[in-house]
Amino acid sequence: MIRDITIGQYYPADSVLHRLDPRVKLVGTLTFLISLFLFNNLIGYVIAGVFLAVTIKLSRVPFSFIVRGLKTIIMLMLFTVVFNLFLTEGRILWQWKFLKITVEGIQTAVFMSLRLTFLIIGSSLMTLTTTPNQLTDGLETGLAPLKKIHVPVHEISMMMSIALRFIPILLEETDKIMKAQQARGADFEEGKLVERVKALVPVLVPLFVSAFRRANDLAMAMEARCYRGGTGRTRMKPLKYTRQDGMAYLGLVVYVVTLVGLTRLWEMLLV
Amino acid sequence: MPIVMDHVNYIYSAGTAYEKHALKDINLTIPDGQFIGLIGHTGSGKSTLIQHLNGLIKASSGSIYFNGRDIYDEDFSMKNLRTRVGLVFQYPEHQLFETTVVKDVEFGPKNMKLPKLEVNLRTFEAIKMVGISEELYDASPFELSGGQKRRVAIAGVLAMKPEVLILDEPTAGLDPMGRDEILDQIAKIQKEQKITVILVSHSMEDVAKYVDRLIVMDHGSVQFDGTPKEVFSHYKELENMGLAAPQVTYVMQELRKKGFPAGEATTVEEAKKEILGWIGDKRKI
Repeated sequence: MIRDITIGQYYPADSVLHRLDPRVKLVGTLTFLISLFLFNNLIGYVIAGVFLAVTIKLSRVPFSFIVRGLKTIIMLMLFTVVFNLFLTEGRILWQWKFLKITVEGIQTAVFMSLRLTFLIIGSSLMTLTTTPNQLTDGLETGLAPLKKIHVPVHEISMMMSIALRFIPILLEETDKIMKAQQARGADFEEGKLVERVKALVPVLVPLFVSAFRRANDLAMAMEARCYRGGTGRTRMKPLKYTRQDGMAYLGLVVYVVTLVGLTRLWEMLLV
Repeated sequence: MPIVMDHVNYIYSAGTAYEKHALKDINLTIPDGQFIGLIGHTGSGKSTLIQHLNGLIKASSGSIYFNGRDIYDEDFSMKNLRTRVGLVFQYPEHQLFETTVVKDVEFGPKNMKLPKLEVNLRTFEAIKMVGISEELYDASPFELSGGQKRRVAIAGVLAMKPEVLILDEPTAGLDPMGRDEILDQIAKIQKEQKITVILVSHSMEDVAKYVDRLIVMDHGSVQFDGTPKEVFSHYKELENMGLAAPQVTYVMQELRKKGFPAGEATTVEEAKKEILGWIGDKRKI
């Protein structure tokens, strides 16, 4: 159950996408996410879909693994579909009292769910192919110019990488604690809402205790290795752009240009 | 209540990059009242195996029978099974949450919806059994020492009066004295309550002294299953698995090589008896 969350989980594989510079992937993902809001017609979705399909293919992450991340937004998706389907004004196809299905409604419902799916897959593709450490490295290097205006870039990225690092640990810990309490007859599945919330106390208390203990240990270990923030800190493996990264940027530009160009063309032709 | 595992397989994260065949075709019968040692290297599948016994993990294939009933039957109550097959996990920190020791131990029997008097009775019985002294009854479980925490955790499961008690590495992180104390106490409880105990460990020395039967696991399957003596006679194979027989087994082995009539011995006590035996009977040497 807990293991189904794919956002923030790395999938180890040896692919072009895995080897790319994290900065490229960050910029790429951001561009892709923004690009999804630049159009509202069929051709746009087709181009974005093809781009996404190609990147998925390149990533060598099994499709079933990527789709798993969608489970978490299924409710949100259903809401959007239902609301858009029944509450959009336009050419009426079917009506029952105040509920009506319109051509425009179907269109928006389909497009919105496609957009949501693309958003989730696009962002989980980045976290699946980039380790949390690479990601924060990329962020830190990418945002380095902000240091000039006294933004604590290093500290922020360090905090992020620690937080990300702790997610799987705490998930695993939760799993173990739940099992230990279940072994003592705790029941997390049955009962009324109040009972279920109460049933969480035996899980949350040990979880908090262990989280604080871990944080304390980590701080101690960092101090023992003379960590004192970002000033004067150098890297063992500084990020360097390679030819592949250049190609990826080029691919990204081609994607955006094609997308914007073709969607505009399509609109002009329709009008 | 006997437990039977029949062709049990378990695969972690099936269909992903992290897929791992953790248990391979396990067939075991655990009769009543036995003191069993389950031994294996880290990652050999022993923790996975014991979580099958009380239904916390569902086997990918195969069946498990508790007292003759298939535990995966729809009308079989897992909650009931878990109170009868008590499992104490390795880290007491994972289960201690209440404000006092007594309240924490009460958690199990309370979940069984027993009458209040019965809950109290079982709680105090269990705390007494594990040897927690009275002045600690109202202490916070978080203030206790490692060994005391572990005792409270064991009491928390004992209070449910399980017929089978499974302990996952109950001595990990304890000093030698604390280790012996806890193991002695468990052996005593096993004898007095006449319950089945499964002791999971990676230390041969720990278990050899106490158990009637040893099960050795490696790479997800059962490699040896027999009395400690039988199992330790395979000490060469055990070494290949990254385990070792108790040191005294090696001493006896060396003695035998030197021409002494040394038999198998798994504890220092046994070896002493044997060696004194020949010294008394000089003609044998």
